[in-house]
Amino acid sequence: MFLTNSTLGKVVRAQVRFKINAYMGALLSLIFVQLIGLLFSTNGSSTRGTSVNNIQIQVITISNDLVFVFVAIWALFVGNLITTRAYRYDDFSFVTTRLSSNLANILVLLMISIFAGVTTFLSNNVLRVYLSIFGSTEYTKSPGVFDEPFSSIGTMLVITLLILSLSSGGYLAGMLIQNSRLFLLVIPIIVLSILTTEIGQTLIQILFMNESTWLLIVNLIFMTIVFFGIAIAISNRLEVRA
Amino acid sequence: MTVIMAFIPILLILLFSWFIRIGMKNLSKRIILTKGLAKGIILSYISVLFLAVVVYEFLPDNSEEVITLNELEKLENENQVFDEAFRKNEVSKLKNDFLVEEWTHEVEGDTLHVVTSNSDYLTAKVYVEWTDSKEQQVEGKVYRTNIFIYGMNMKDRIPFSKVKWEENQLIIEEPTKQEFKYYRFSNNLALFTINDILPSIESGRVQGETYVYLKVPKHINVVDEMGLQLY
Amino acid sequence: MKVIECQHVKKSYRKIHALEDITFQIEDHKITGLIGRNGAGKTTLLKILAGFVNEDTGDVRVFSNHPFNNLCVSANSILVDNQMSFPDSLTLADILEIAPSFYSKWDAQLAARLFHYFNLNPKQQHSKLSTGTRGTFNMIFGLATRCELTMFDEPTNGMDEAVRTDFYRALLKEYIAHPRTILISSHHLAEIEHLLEDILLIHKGKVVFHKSLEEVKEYAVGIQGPIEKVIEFTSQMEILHTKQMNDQLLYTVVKKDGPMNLEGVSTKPISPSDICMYITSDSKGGIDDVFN
Repeated sequence: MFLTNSTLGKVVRAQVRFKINAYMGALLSLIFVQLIGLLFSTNGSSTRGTSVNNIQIQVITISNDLVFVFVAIWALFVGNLITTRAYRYDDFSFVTTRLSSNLANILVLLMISIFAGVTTFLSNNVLRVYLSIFGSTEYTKSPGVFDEPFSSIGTMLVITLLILSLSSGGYLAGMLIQNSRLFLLVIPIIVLSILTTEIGQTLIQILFMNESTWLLIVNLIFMTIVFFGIAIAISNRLEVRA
Repeated sequence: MTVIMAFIPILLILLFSWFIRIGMKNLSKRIILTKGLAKGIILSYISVLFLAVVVYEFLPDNSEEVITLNELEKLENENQVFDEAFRKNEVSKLKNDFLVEEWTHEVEGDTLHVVTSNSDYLTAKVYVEWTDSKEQQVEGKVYRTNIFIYGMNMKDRIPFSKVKWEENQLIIEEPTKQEFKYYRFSNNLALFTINDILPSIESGRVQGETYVYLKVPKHINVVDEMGLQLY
Repeated sequence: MKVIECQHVKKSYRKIHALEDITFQIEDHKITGLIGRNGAGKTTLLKILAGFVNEDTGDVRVFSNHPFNNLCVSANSILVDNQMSFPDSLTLADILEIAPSFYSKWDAQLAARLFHYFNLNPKQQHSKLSTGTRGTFNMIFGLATRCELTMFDEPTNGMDEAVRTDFYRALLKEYIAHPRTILISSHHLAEIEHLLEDILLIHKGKVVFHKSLEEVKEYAVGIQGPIEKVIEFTSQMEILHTKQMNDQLLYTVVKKDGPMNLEGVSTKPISPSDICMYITSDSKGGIDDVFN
């Protein structure tokens, strides 16, 4: 009898390769979501007015906010989606353990998040070109990616991390629900109570409303690791095809 | 009531996500996406995005709006230097770049009234320098410093206070009320700029002013009827 | 070397006891039939061996490892059942293409040949196949992995007669060319009898016996004769099945216990399939008794 020796790294690598091919649909849905977001952003996301010497100046800014909000919801869903039965069972048609499957999922979510972060950031440029050339209103030239490279990279990084942390939240929620249907009820209650109570608000403020970008980045990474860690721990006893 | 309002966005999000989910399910049933097709769509999307980035860079510049935060600071500095020089009457230091108008005017009699047309405050800073000249000639220079609002150079875009002579009256005329609407694009999320997490020139603002520098012969009285700020 | 070792394995889902007490061992390079009626616990047992589900109590060893969450077991074993699923975004060809990165012994040539032989459409999605075709594809997948432990759970469900025959033939040829440990579960022993070396019969979550096919053939004997005589003969024996043929004739199947001296009655060998059926039936009579 000759047994093949598989290492965790080898299996995870194979799984990531497999999942990238298999989850292509997720990327397509992302593109779809971004396009819808762009469609809705043409009206501008924020308006600011000021007056100088009797002259009212109104500046309507078209930014990535709406696209980002759409993508954020999408990220929650994708994180959730890949914990569903069909996706988990697919893994078990090949060589896998629960750990390797989780690690591969996390890596794939990371890749998808980077893709989503970069494309969300850049999607604005499509509108820029379109509206500047075909738009009827006056669009003023605004700083492009190359004009503010550092702030651009910073924004891209933060968007990517936000998307990743949201998908990790979706992933954790999905794993909890896979463990017990009870969480279908518990999770919305927890989320709502965080959003509405004072303690929850303070928590949100501590986590997200920082003055320093770096602190926000560290917080997001920390949150993501915690979410994924818990998800791995609770999914380690999930049975498949049971 | 406010509690209910707080829930509305969440409900909308849920509704929206439900639509997405149903839509995706139906879509995946109807369209069989082969790996090649999916890859093609994704690659072409990426290339469109990058193309847009490059094309946007080459789109004609309608003004010098694109500036960095550092430049903004520099402009603010220039304004301050100018302001100080103006207050201290250091004519030589007044930057010629800011000069918009230069004229001389023959005043009849010995009084010069400085009046503002349609507001109760003066929209320009006026400095009067006395000369020993016996003539009736008044020399004037109008300056305007940098105005950047929301990262846009407004100096040449918005009409500014005009200086007009009516006999012995120097009228500083405010422009008529007008509204300007500009669309602009932003790289940043408004979500962050509220907290100034990522500072950007969009929130930066340099408010310049109109300065009037007058050289008046000593024997002419300058009457500032409204108690305007004269130096 | 022992490939599978199970000691007092128990498993229950909520209130239902799927496995009560399973103890057996399987040596390497044998084809074993896992036989039992519907709901006997065959599928649960296979899922435990494959590491899909975890046993409640007892000790399970596959290649000396506990299969649940074990990479070595996962890499060297495969369970082919009708619940096998593959993403919709992949075509059958994609699946076969990606498999070698998981299974180092993957036999691409074999997969391609079988794929071609069974006329499968490489551009189709796995979930859109009919039950029989899906089973065929799963079987091809399972054989091509060349896993040291290959398990089939009711593999021929939904396959038509011709494909079934081909499947068994392919399995046997593969086994001869590349010996490995094969476990086939079925409720229909007669069909797979010709393949098997050993039979593991389970009933209501317990192992009834684990014997070679030859031993099973000798396990029981059928006795037919006048009612009183048969009753007299079988009074000391373990009766597996009785059937009243007519007013005078009685047919009884008993467990064979050493040489028997039977006069005035005729004896009949019993096929392994029937033996398994008789042992696992709850009532000693047949379906006919229900209607009498």
